[in-house]
Amino acid sequence: MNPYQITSIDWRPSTLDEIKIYYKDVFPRIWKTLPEYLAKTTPTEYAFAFLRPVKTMDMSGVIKEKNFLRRENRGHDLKTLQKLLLNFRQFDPLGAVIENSQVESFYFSLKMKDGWLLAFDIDAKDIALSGLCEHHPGLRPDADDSEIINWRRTIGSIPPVHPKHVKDPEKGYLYCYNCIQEAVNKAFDAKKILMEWGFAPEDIHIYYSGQGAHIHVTDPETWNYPKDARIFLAKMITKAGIPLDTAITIDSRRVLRFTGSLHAGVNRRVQELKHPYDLEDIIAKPNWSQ
Amino acid sequence: MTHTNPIIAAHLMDNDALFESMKSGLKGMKIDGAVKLAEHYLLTGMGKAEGPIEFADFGTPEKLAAIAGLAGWRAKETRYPRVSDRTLAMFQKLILEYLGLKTPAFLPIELCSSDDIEIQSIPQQAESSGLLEAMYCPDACIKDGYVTIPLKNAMNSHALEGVSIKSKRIYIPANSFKLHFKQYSKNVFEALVKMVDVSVEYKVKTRLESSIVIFKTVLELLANLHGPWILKDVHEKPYPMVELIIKALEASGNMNTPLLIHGLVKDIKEYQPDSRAPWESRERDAILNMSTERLLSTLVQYKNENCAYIKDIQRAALGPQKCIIRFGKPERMILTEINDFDRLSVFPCFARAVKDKAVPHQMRAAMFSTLLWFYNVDQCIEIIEKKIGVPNFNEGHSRYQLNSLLESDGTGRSEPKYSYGVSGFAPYCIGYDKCPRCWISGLRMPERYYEKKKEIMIAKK
Repeated sequence: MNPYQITSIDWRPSTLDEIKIYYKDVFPRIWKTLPEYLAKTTPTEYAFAFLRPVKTMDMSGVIKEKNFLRRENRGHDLKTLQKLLLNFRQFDPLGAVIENSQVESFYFSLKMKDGWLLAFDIDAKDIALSGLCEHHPGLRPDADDSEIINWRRTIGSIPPVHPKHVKDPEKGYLYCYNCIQEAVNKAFDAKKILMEWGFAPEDIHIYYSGQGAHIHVTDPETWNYPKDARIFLAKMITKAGIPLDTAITIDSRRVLRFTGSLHAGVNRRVQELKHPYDLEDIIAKPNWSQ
Repeated sequence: MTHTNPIIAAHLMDNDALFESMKSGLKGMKIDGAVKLAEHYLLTGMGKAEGPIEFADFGTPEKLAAIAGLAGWRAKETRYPRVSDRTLAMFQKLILEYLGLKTPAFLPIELCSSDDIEIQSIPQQAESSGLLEAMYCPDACIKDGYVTIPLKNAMNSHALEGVSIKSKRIYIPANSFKLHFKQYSKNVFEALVKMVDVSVEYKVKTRLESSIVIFKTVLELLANLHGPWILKDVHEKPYPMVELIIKALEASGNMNTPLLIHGLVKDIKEYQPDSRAPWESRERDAILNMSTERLLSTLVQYKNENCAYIKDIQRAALGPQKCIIRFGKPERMILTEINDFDRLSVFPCFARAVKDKAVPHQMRAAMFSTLLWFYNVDQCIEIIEKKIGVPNFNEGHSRYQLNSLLESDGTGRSEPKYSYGVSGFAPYCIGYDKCPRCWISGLRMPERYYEKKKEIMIAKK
């Protein structure tokens, strides 16, 4: 994929209205198509990030600004989640928010009622950094500050260019379109490797995450894998040349962008991919409509 | 599962069970017999025995465990790292033989710079003996020349070159098995040595030490003939010339004294080399045949290589007439102020423990049992809170834990209850091959520490 030849519509942050419309009208349709293991009551926790920090007050009256809140899943159904996603303050089960903001991102915990989901995360920005994308250089780990800023400027100027940061590209998207494609390709490579290791293809799910790819492995035995086995697997996959964000795989406290939620940074929804080339359409135009 | 075979799983056994097991190994044996066998074991390990030693010479795992523990303890007492390494390698060789894998005999220590054993294939009885289960997991087995274990039991350390995954099982080839086995059997061996260390009476140890005569003579001979460095760490660069200088300065009483080069040469001239140690006169002659410029530039080079015995060279640029040089033994640290704690970060295991902040219990216990010889509880609290920055710091909790490491010394003062060795730090030890120093031996412990160690040894019996 040549990033300079991509014509893409609306690769930009979603507007407040778009987010509201998404969770009001689109999300219920998507919810119905979610795979069994992501069914409504499975994750033990959900987490939320906001457009602006929200103000919270804890039990002892201490007020804090927070970007990110975790909430226990008390059997939340679609309706409960929708309420939270549209008006967090009013429906927060803890009633802790005193100054509201719109939820921007929505996550689920990898710890689920039946175990710990084995997941792998490949970020487009890690592809960009690693030099695996043929359209630009990577960044040396020992680069100094001026090299870092130059690199960020270069990457920020290669499409997608952030509409708000045309003049200061170093603040823009730190990957190019092909980096996302590479992340997706690597996810499919990882799937092939996992199949060679004995996992059934139907138990390996690949998702476009917005700015990269996620892999969920739902083989019955993986739910009970201890941390050590996950470290081993992450290491073996990395050794096979797949640039993973290993913390996601090995830390049971981590959350992952909810499948079917909106990545409001790029106005695309998280969706399952059957083929690496499914990505082209998603990049070309938002993969959701009212 | 309960392990009962001490050479397969000593470190996993309950202390009392291990002690009984080792004791049963010596049943019906006179002390002289045990001493003789331990000596034969030690000499074979050094490649210096008349005849080979085999598992059959022990007959039972219990007997091997007891003798290996005694030999390992004796080797440790020599304070020569290579002697300990070889004694461990001998243990590994004997376990492998017990498991059906013969490995070549050890070459004499002076002819071979490696103290490792080679393992080309997985020993046949590794599975039936229970070794694989203890090393890996209950479902570990041998298949097509590989050890295979379920993916769910995989560990970080299993991700080595040549390891593969098939049908949700991992396959470990012999060369990776070798690395796992070496580490594992080292843990077994250390448990045996520790058992001897804590359970054998002081006077029995003294007797043991004095009756292992040939071994002692062999070590002396090796040190004399080839130089003492041959018994030191193979990865540490030897400095024969400096070893001779140290001997000469010890004889003249000029250790730690700033000397001019001609003063140094004078001491060397006056030193009478040991006639049994040809290397001494060889090195002495070499120094005396050197120009003072050459001697100085060689010593400057050694100092730049971090030779631990050269403490100081001042004004080297002014040449041998003007420069001043000082030799000394590597110093041990004394910790007095809280800031001295930072000096311990020169030891890799210690640095990592501090970096990780939240370290396992046994390591915290070992670390503070040692630090409490230098610091009081309040200072330790400050170290935990400010120097280490332990997450979820809770002063009450830390104070309680620190106090649990202390006891009254009989005169009403408190002192550390346990005298830990290095074993508490084993998970963070990078190995003597990479780091010749050990943080506990790097400290100048108070005399009372050594007295207490002796008391603990005697009391254990």
